[in-house]
Amino acid sequence: MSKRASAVAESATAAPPDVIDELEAALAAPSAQLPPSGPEPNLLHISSVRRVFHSRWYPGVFQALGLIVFGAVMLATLFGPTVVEDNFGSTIVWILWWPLLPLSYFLFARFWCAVCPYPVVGEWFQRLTGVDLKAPRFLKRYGIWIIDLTFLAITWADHVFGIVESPRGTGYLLLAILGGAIVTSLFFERRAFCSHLCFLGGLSGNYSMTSSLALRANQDNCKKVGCKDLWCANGSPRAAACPLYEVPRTMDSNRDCNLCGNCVKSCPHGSLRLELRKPTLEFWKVRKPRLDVAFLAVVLVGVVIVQNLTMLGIYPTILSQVAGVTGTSNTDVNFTVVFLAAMVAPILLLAAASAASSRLSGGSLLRDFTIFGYALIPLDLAAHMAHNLFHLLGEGLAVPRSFVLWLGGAWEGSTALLNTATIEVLQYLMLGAGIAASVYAAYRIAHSAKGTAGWRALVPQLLFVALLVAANVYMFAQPMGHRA
Amino acid sequence: MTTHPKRSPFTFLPVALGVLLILAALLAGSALAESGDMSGMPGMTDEEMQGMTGEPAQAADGHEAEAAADAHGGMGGGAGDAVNWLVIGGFIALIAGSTLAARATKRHLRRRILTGELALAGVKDV
Repeated sequence: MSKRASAVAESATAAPPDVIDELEAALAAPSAQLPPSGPEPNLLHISSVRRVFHSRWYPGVFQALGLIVFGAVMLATLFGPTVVEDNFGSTIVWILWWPLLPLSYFLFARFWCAVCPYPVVGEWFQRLTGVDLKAPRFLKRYGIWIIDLTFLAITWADHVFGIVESPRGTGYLLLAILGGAIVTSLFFERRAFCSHLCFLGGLSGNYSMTSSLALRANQDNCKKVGCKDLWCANGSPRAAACPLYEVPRTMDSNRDCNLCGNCVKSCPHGSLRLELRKPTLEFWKVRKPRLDVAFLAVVLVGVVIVQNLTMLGIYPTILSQVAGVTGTSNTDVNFTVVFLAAMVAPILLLAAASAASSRLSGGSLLRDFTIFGYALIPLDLAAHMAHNLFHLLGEGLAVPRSFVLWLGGAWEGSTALLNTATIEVLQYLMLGAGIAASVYAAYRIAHSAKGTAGWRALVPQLLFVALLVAANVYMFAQPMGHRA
Repeated sequence: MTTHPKRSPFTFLPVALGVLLILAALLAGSALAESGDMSGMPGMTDEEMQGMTGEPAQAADGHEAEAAADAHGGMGGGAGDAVNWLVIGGFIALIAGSTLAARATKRHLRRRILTGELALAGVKDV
């Protein structure tokens, strides 16, 4: 056994040597162990994909890249030019990485979380002197509420203190994430920060549920081979335990799977499947819908509205109208009023729609709020991507420009990759796809939860979605400001 | 003697940490805003605001936005620089302090394991 494997085995499960030898022998020929593919294609049947997931360099190579890029980004944001468009750290974060992030969740589920450099640094400290306590129960239960509040606090702070507009502000935000990841890793085992506290983890959990890519266990195979060791969850000589505390055998959601491949490496029976499925399928298949997940989905509706609204030409007019009501010209106070309204309105509207749904079809308001909250996630994702498409394509060349300036060169001309009209068409197409996915998810959720009464439950929800669509279409039709 | 493990003293650590980090980030941002290191309306540069509304852009504090003079320098002194070093120093202190605290906690728990105090709580190793 290699030195690395020994270290992993020590930190994972204390198993008798004969069991470890048996496991090693079985793992030596994983391809021979793969059960048939099943209804959804298993990408692990493709030898190159299987090799990647079994490789000891996966996901380490991607993590190393992430560390290099984000190390440079942090140096640039903390010590580089103070003007956003000249600072390549700021342009990489806000014009390239942040706009591509939601797209990556849709295409590759939570893969970003596997390669994110912050918990990697946390794991170094964990290995150095980690206490490895179990994550507190309350954190497991209420972590996502903390994430909700953090997300709101950061969105608010961004607009009041201008985090996006200041490279230093961006640097401090990244330092806060890094600090959180390191300190949590020092005291708690695995990736407690990513799992329970990281606001990006909450976002990625929600968005990754829309993805076509899903890692699941072939439960029939687990039963057939009579697996009781749960190497996939607890770790093996080949790989550490699941960093996000999942038990792949019972996993039914992408929320807590970052595709790190530890379970694939550890399972001697080839029971893990990398499925290619219908996008959004998860929303009506999930066994235990969670209120906190639904709440985050509604909060994200408000966050996207605020992000759009504050970049529109009509925003100063809105602020002055609010000033008429509040009686103060303080921009922070008036923005806070707009912010609170944008956050509370979707929550109240979904509550009203759910009250109507439960009245028309039976059931409870809270249950309908929860299940139909999931249906908003595709619209969240589409609106978020459409908003960021403007930054990615409308000012994407700001990234190489800032790099050229940093090297002492000069860059003249526009930073746009596409013209505004083309971007607008793409934004509407994206929004259209999100609407279709949300409506279809609501329909499937209604039918799966309410049976024949599903149609009656669906109507108020569709009215709510229509309202959101109208708000989004209106906002995307307005001229928008750039980030750099 | 109770057979139930006591609530870990670290239970509220992550929340306290999160609140601390957010407060620190907000205070640093606020200090920077006051020192003039951040400028402009949220989400827009001065030029964009002027282009859209035909009016001069207003900074968050209601005064006319100051365009950063040291566009490429960025390292120029002043209060912004001091805040920057304060934040970075605070970060290093936080990590160093937490590492020392983790080491001390580990030593403390190991001692309690050796004396058998944690046997009933099912703790065997840290």
